[in-house]
Amino acid sequence: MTDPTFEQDALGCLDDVARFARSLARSEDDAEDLVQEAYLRAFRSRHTWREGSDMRRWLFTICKNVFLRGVERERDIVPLESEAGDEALAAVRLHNELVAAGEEGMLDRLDVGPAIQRALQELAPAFRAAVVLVDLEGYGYGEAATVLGIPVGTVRSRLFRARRLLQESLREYARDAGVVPFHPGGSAHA
Amino acid sequence: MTTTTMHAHGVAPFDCRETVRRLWDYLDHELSETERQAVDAHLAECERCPKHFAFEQAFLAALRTAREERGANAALRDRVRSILESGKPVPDTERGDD
Repeated sequence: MTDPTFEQDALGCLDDVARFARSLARSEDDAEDLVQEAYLRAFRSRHTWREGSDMRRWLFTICKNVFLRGVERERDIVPLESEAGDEALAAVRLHNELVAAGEEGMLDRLDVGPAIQRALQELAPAFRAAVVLVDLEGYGYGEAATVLGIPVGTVRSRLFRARRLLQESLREYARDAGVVPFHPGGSAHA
Repeated sequence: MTTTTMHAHGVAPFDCRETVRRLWDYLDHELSETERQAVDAHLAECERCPKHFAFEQAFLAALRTAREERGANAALRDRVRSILESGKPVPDTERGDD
């Protein structure tokens, strides 16, 4: 017999968990398998869930753990870490380059939603997960660290690197779409 | 550039580099109150840094708009409901396409 509160709360998080799973998995089918496996594990561990606690975060954590199952797979997705402050400096250097190249308005000129979705899919899963949790799902650094099972500093460095990579991808899309001038070699006002 | 006087909150003023290193933490509301005040003080005095902060703020706003509204499809919802009711995975043969 299932606790109706548990079932109701868990089902209420399904859309969020499905989105999160898609951010991790390579395909729609993989994402659905991931969701089902996560819910199966959640069901089997339901005695560890306390009513009133954050169901969504708990399910995200299970989903992430299912995804990372297997050392080989985890090794594939963990990127090199960088110092978070340096990533912020790099983002500003990129902004300077955009300004110097007349590309600063790319966000206004691009169909930015689809462009960002494409750029997100190109990120390594570890980066994508950080962006999805913080920027799309609204988690703080500490909450995202809990879900991902990594230190807050690692969340910051992955998040900041991911944002810079997204901006670089958006610049490429803007150039490809012809919405910003393309200057081979660019400018380097860093 | 910034002055070198101490601010009322007792933190040495940040220069451009120190401010920019905190850019994302500031925009994400993850700085301590003391550091936030120091960044605010720098932004009030600096000509260049506010432009970087404004650009990155616009980028984050654009990023948030990319949040997919699409959640779980009906077939997946049925399968998850079944799992939550019975604790058993749905056999592949019962999985249908949407």
